[in-house]
Amino acid sequence: MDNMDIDSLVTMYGKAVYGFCLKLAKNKDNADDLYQETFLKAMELSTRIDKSNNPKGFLISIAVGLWKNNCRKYARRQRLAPEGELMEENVNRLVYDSSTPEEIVILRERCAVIRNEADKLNDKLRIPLYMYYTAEMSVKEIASALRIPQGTVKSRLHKARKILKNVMEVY
Amino acid sequence: MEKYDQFEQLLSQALSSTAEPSEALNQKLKCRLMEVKVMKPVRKRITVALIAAVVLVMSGSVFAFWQLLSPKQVAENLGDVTLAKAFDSENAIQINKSITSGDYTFTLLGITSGENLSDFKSSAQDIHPDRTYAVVSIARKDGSPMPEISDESYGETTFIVSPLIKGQKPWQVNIFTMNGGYSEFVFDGIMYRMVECDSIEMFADRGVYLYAGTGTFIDNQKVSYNEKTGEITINANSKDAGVLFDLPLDVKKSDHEKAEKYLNELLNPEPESITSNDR
Repeated sequence: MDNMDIDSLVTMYGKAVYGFCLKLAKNKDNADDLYQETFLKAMELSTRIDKSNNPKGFLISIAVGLWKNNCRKYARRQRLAPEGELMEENVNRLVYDSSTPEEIVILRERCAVIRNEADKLNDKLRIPLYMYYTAEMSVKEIASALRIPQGTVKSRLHKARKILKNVMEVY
Repeated sequence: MEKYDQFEQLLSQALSSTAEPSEALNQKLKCRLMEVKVMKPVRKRITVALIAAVVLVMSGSVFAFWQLLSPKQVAENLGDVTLAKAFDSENAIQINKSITSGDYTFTLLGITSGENLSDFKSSAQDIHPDRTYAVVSIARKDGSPMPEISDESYGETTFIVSPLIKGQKPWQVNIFTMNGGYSEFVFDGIMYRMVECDSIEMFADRGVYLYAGTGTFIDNQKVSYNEKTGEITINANSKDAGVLFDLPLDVKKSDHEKAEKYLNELLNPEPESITSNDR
């Protein structure tokens, strides 16, 4: 795979990878770094990319590996310069999906609680959750990217949903 | 079922992302990709030539070091440019010594100490600005790769790397009590761990070891401490893999008085004073 192809991967999957990096890294600076490192690593491993076989999953798995490798670096940077990034990105869509202003406010709050609680999950639950909902990968793709059985992915997603559901019930 | 669907929809709405990389970020990325593409073939040719030359002239045991990353490369990989430069300076000690224990070969690659050597600062540096950084690689004895960080089996076997001071009980004076920490990654099947703690150079005249092994803490199952001589040795009956490196520190850099003061603070912490706000 040559540089042109990596460029096309940036064009095709850049948004999905970036959204995932932002969720994982929690702030823009770390997300920007993680995003760039992901594609640079992909360039190194370009012979392993099969464009016909889930390149998005491959890119996301690289991002996960880099995140785990460097999470101490990112965490330190987060402590030094916390940004408290506000994830208000779905507001517009929520506005269209809901009918009354009250419902919109409630929905916004519920979404904020879920995002907040999802961030508190440990990486074993958090990463598959973001892969599924943020990167919109299937269970099979997640299993392949994380090199774990599909059953394990399902059970982790189930656990994560259960925790979030319990929180929402209390809320 | 309807409730489940509603919750699924809520999760999708909350966790989906509409964020996009900025045009500037994508442009910067494409430039970097282009640079890597230009550099790659050259680096490859040099590497192949180097390896070929080394295979011809080096013995098997020494050759192994050429397969490992240097401390500078490890620091670069961890995104610490300042530390990478520090490992490239004269103050750094390149060691490249391997010891095998149990299923693992531990290689002490290098060590450096000083102030402001890292891009990443910890709160401990406010009190003790001098820090020591050491790089150890961990490889499987049978040559099979260490689990990648994304592998399910990653973390099943834990490792500890810690400096130990001759004359001090290892379970009292170690990486945990010396404001330590570590970063690690796996590259080409070999784990690289960068440990850092308060500077150990002040202990250079006493003798300083670096322990590396499996497990999560230092106890008398792993190492033995001789109360009379202060010597620390690997406990022969230990079930854990574990090795001790003697650190070749520059005795001129020792500071007995500073070391005594440091140990006194570490071993006899003052009880927190009660302020009027605490009452």
